[in-house]
Amino acid sequence: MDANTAFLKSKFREYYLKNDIILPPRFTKREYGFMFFDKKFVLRHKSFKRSSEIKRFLVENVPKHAYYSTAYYKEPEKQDMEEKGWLGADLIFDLDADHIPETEGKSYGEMLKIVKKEAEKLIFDFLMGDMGFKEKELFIAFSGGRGYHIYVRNPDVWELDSDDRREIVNYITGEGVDIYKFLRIEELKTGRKKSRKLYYLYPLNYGGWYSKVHSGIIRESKHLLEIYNSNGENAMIEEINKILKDKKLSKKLAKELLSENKEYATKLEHLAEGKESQKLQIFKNDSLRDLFLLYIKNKIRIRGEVDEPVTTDIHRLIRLIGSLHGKTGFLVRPLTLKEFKNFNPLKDAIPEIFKKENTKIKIKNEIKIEMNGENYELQGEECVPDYIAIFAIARGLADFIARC
Amino acid sequence: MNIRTLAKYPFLPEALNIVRNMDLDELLASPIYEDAKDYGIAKVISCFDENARVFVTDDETKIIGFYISKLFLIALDDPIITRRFANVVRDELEGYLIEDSSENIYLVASTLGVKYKNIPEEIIRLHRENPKPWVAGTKYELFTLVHFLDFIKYASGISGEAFKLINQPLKDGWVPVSKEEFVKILREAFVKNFVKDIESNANKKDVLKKYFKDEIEKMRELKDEYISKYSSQDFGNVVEEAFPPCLKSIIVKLKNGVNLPHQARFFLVTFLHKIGVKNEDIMKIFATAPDFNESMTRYQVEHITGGISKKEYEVPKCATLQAYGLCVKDIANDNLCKKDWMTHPLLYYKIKKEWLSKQKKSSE
Repeated sequence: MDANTAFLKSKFREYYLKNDIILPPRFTKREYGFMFFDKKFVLRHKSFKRSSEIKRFLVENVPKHAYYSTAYYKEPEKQDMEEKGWLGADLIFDLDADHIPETEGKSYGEMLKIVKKEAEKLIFDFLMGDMGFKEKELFIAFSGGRGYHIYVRNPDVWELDSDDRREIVNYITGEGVDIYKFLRIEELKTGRKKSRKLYYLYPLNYGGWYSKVHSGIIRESKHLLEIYNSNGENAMIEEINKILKDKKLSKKLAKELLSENKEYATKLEHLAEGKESQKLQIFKNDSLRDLFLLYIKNKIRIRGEVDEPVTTDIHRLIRLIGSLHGKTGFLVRPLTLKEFKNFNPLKDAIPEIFKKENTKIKIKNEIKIEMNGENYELQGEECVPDYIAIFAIARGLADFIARC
Repeated sequence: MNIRTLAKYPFLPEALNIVRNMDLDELLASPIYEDAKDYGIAKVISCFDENARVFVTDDETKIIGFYISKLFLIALDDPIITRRFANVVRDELEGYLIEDSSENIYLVASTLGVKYKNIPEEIIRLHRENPKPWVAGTKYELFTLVHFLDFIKYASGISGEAFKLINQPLKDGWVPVSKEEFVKILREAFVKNFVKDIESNANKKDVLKKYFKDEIEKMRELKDEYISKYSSQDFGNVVEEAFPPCLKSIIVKLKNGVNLPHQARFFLVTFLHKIGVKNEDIMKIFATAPDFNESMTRYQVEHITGGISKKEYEVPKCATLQAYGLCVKDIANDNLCKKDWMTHPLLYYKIKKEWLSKQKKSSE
């Protein structure tokens, strides 16, 4: 075992000695899986009868990654899925920066902020909003890596099969759905052979995507208007471009939205303030309206990033709460809704025990990161708090030298 | 509820009260309930053979008969038969419910565990003024609110845009539905509940088997006959992965140049033909055989597949393959083969194929 691995392993062991993981409900019916620092294979199909057994296993074997099944089984230790005897599974959403195009090229900290925004949308707009789940039915955890795990632990969801779960995923991602489906369309005869389509928004209290499109138009128009008013047209184009990812189109749409409109200073203001259900008629042409609606749709939906296989795979393993993530040293931390709102992973997911000592490391290139509320700019050999040393070594950005 | 209505919904607890305290010997072996037994068994058999239907007018006989159908299905322990029976009852149920009172519809919903809630008048009005896109211009009236988890649990099996969750005006966990939609959801809920009920009673099958000895035999035969009548359209595209182990082993032997007995070739050709493999492609598989003779093979393939003889041969069932020594169940260690009810290679293929496509979907 090389020095880096030995260091990480000893730190992880220290953590598992002094801390307890948080067992999932019905923990004896779950399957557990582990990956290790010094072994290539994945250990699966483990089961535990007592919480003390899990504790002992973690301290003795010090896994790099620890997982448990969202499903529970009659005999979780059986290898064969059929013999395992599936009894049910939590409903789980895995939001990870990996799946959000917007996070590309962003720093770890920025990435985590974007994912958090999506998680907020999922929790408040979809799960607690449309689906009416109560706070006590939800369980939120920071994944220790680049995202969040959101669980619904309500007995009514246990027996949902893959197809049922896919319906939920489709609902929250709106994947491949034509947004015009959520508008009321009327054909208006304008001549003997000519007709014009009129688009009406559904009432705000109608429910589902019908209302989401309406409220999304108001909310996002207000948001763009704010950006325009305080930072100008270019900032607004930037904002649109985050979604459209096409500078030319973003410019075109911004120009259209900022053009004059009868009673309003701009069309954008009309969209934000106007009360009438047919306000989508204000666009100069169909393609500009299409573009605007595409923007709105992507603001409403959870952008394809609820890792669909995780939600629909009813045999999936997911990180054990209270375990450590082997590629960051962060805690897989459970969060109440209140904690989630103010949660800063780069501060709040650092295990206390890693704040106590320092370690000398050799940085390969240069590291710039804000952790535990402090800004670090590191290069060469440095003596740093353990949590920095662990993070840098685990990510392959530095080598272990000595304790200091 | 009067007995006439109970006979329409014999799965209601009130209907089950009639049979609750009866002992099995009395019910299944004494002449008192002979009519009910005949009716109950015929109801299952007629799912595969229309001529087997028995008509009764007495409501009590219908209720007891339904219960006996259930016992028969438990004894059969065959998911294919159970599902087919459930589907037949499902369609009857839909017909009854759509004509029935709201009160009875809600009673059935509660029994099936489907969560519903009264729909406020203002929501009905809101929808009348702003109909959902696909009902605009049709006569559509909201009936009740269904909890969305029940909606997806039961509607995910119904095709069409109207039953996709994303198209629902979902609010606080509830989906507004019309009477027709609600009844469709109840009908699917019946199927799921019924199948689960039969499966969870599997431990009683040995006790029950002795009452249905002859009928079980007959039913198995009918099912095999039914399966062998599948047409290639029933199978969709060809998925080699889903081939049963016996067929895979024959293909491997052929590729390795092992000479095959006539029965193995016969099985291979009938099977591949049935699932929609073209004769040209069947020929290609044979091209690796050590004694391959193109014109001879073509003649045989065309003969077996009905091109020459006008008689299309049937795919042999598991029992026949066993008799030929072509069954590899004991060495293949295949879970599907081990099932009691696995009686036909085409059935294996159909189920394995569905299973693989589900698995693929969930890991994509």
